[in-house]
Formats: sequence, C-alpha cells, structure tokens
Amino acid sequence: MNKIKHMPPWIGYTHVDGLAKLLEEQAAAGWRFKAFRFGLEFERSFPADEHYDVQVFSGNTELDTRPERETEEFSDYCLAAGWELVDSSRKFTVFRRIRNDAVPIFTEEEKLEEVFIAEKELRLWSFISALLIAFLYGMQFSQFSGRYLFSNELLFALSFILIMVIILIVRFPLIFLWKEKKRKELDEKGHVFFGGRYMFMTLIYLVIWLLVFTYLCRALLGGIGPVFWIYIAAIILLTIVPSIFRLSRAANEMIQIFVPFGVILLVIALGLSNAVSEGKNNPAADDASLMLSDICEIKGELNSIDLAKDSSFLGEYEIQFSTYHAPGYDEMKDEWIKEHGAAVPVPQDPDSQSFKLDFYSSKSSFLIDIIENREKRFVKRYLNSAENVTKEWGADEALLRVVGGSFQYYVRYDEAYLQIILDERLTDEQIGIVRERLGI
Amino acid sequence: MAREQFQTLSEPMYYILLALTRERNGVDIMEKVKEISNGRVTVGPGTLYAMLQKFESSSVIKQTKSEGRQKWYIATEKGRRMLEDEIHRLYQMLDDAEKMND
Repeated sequence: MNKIKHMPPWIGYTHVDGLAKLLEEQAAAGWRFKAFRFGLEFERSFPADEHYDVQVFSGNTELDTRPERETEEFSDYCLAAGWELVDSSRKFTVFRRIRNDAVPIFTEEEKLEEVFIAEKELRLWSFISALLIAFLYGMQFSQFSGRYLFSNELLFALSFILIMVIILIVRFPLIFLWKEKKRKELDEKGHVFFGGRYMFMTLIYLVIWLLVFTYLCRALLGGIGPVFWIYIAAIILLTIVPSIFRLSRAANEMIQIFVPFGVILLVIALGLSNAVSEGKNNPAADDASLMLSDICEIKGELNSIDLAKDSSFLGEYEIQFSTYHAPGYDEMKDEWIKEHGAAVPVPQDPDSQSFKLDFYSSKSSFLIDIIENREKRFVKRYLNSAENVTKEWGADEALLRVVGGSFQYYVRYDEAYLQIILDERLTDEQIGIVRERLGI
Repeated sequence: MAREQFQTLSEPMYYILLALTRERNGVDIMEKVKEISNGRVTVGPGTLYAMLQKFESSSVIKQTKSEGRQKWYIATEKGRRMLEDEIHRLYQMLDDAEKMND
C-alpha cells in the first residue's frame, strides 16, 4: 500500500477553509497532511479526527516554498495559542490544533482582510500579465494575420488565450465584489466560510495550458522540436523543482529571474544555429506545392528553402522563399572570405536564382480581401504604374511590377490571392503550371 | 501617522499595551492579557503578531532584546502616553455615564 500520496496544488486564497476541510477529510480517511511538496503531500496514518486552520500570512511572499524566518516566528505565537504549524507555501500556512481550548488565530474580520489583500495582489499580477499578453499577441496578430487565420492550432490557441486573458482581466475587479459579499455574510452570520472545491479547476487549468502550449509550439515552430523541450524544462525549473526541493526564498528568486533569461538565450542560439544550417537536401522541398524548378529552368542547385504552410477551417496558406546557387558556390564564397577578408566583396554567382511565393486561399472572399490589403500595404503606391496581366492569369486582377531584374506578380482570384517574385517573366504555359499546382 | 491610527484603542490594543508597560516576551503577552482581563479578553496569535508589528513600526513599543526567534518588548514613552490618554478617556466616559444616572 502506498505510504505517500499527492493531490493537486491549491491556487486561490479565497478557498482556504475549503483546503482546511479537505485536510480534515483526508485525516479522517487515514491520510495526514505532511507538506506542500509537488502539490499537497499526504502520508499514510491512522484515521483521526483532526482540526486544521489554513491562514493567509502576509509575512510570506509568492516565492516562498517552505516556512521562512517570518513564518517560524509567527508559528511560535500560534503554538502558544494551541496551533502547531504543519507547513507553509506561498502565503498559505497550515496549522493543526493541538489543544481543545486553542484560541482562533485571527478574528473573522482580520482573516477576511488578509485573504482579500493576498488574493487582490495575486489577481493584480495576473491582470497585468494578461494585459501584456493581449498587447503582445495583438501586435503579432496584426503582423501575420494570414498565418493565424489559416492554422487550426493557432486559431485554437489564440481563441483560448483570448478567453483566458478576458477571464484574468475580469477576475481582478470581481475580487472587490467578492469582498463586499463576504463582508455582508460576516455581518449577517458572524462567520465567513472561505470554501469551495478548487482542486478540479486546478487540474483542468493545468491540462488546458499544456494543451495550448503544445499546439502553439506545433503551429509556430513547425513541430515539437528542441524549443518545445526548452520551454518544458523551464516550466519544470520554475515551478516543479522549487516545489519538490523546497528551495529557500532567495534561491527561488534567483531561479525565477535567471531561468527566463537562460531560455531566451538558448532559443536565440538555437534560432541562429538553425539559420546557419539551411539544407540543400531540405525535406521542406518535398512539401512545397510549387517549386521554381516546376516552372523555370534551374541553372544551379537548391541552396536553401524556407517553407511555411498550414490550413484551418477558414482556409490555407503557403509561404516559401528559396534560393539557388551554382554548385560549389558556397565553398568558393568561404574560401574567398578566408583569403580576402569580409571587406572585399564576394564575386556574384551569375547562376543564382531566388523564388518567393505567398499564397492564400479561402472560401471567404472577405478574408482574402483583408489579406490582399495587408500584403499589398507597402507596395500599393507603386502598383498604379504596374503592368496589367489579368488576362494572362485569368484572374479578377493581376499586376506585374518589374524592379531591376525582379519580376513581382500580385494576383487576385475570388477565393485566392498570391504573390510571386522571381527572376524572369512567366509565359502563359508557366502561368498554367502555377495555377495547376496551386489549384486556382 | 501613529497618532491617527491609534486615536482610539480597541480592546485588544489596550490590553496588549497594558501588558507591555513591563518588558515581556511577545509570546507571553497572550497569557498576560487573559490574566489582566480575568479571562474576558483573549487575543489570538495572529492578532497579537500583527499588532506587535504595527506598534513597533509606529514606535509605540520597542524591542529590548531577542534570543533566537524570541523577542522581548516594552512600551515606549509614546506608548505610555497613548495608554494614559486612553485610560483618561475611559474614565471620562464612565463619569459621563454616572452623571446621566444621577
């Protein structure tokens, strides 16, 4: 039979009496509360009629994983009054009654005030974080609306994040209403019960966040790669490790400050190393709907390809940028720089080619209107003098802009929009291949 | 700030300050208050702990010594004056009540 068991952690201070009741029920069932370690830790014991009081102690901080000096000092007073400190974490302090004539630790009014202040501070930080997240995602969404619309995972994650942000923002002012309600309850009944079954909400909360996080990683990073595991490691270091090892306040503060910095540095380093290792044999080339080699003669070989494509119930998108160089050009470039230094320009590759494709399709022409306006916003003023190639494309509108040696096509169909940038003008036959490959 | 906050002392405040007219260990104050009031007034450990912090930060009491986690306190001059003012106020209230009954 197991001698130790764990239950999910308690999050909100407004349910401290519910936690005390849980501990008493567990004690009656033969599980005695031992510590705040990896949630609530219980040890096997004889069933007992025990009385617990869970207080919110303002001398603690949110970074406390164990009793600190202030808690131990406070517990001396409580011991003299008939209450033995079992354990504390954050601002929760759990006491077990050791004398039947034990004096209440706080008056009802004082307990209401302590719970209110602690919960208000907690919700205020959530409120500020939610505003920051809303601002950051709003900024990001406004930049990449096509990608966010046409990815089920991102739509799900963004919708969930939006709901969570709204909940966190609304919860802050609600704590003031809660206090008024509890004040009235105190005036009428002379007693307040800070209770409710919080445990399952905690579990659901944790599971949903993990789901959203996984989806975000898949959608933004193209798979559960190294960055996902870095984030998981960070979550473990920031939450689970302090809880299991009961770190001191000072040690926990250091972790909370330095782990996020470490994560940012690691992710940047990973991003840089990925940028350097562009593959000639990149498997992304197999996923692309259209490659330059499908429509033009390639003089060199594929040097690099960046491909992003996804679909949602709203539509699909594919964004590609690929470059081609003559065989051995990269090695020649490295040798040149070694010999002449970076200051001397590297000779250009006469066979180099590049291909940029931005393709969006949706059954909603309203969404395609939004995407078209967003994609054209930086070149709109130049398109007035662009060549009209609508007839060649059989489109609603197709424009060709020639800039130096670059040919830029802006093509709109009722349910699709694409931009193609390449180094030569497309013939009717090549346009036909593009339309066939993209299904337009 | 201390004067406005402690303009009128509540019962727990009054008895805690009364107990600290002599140097005492913080933990012993609960028993002393019960003794002084003949069991009528009980001060909870949370109430006492919070009150000692407020009194000390307002210079109403001061710490005289500490041994490990144990601390000893005594009322300052300011604290004694507050107590005297409160006692005077209570006597005044009693006088006023007796006048009403005459």
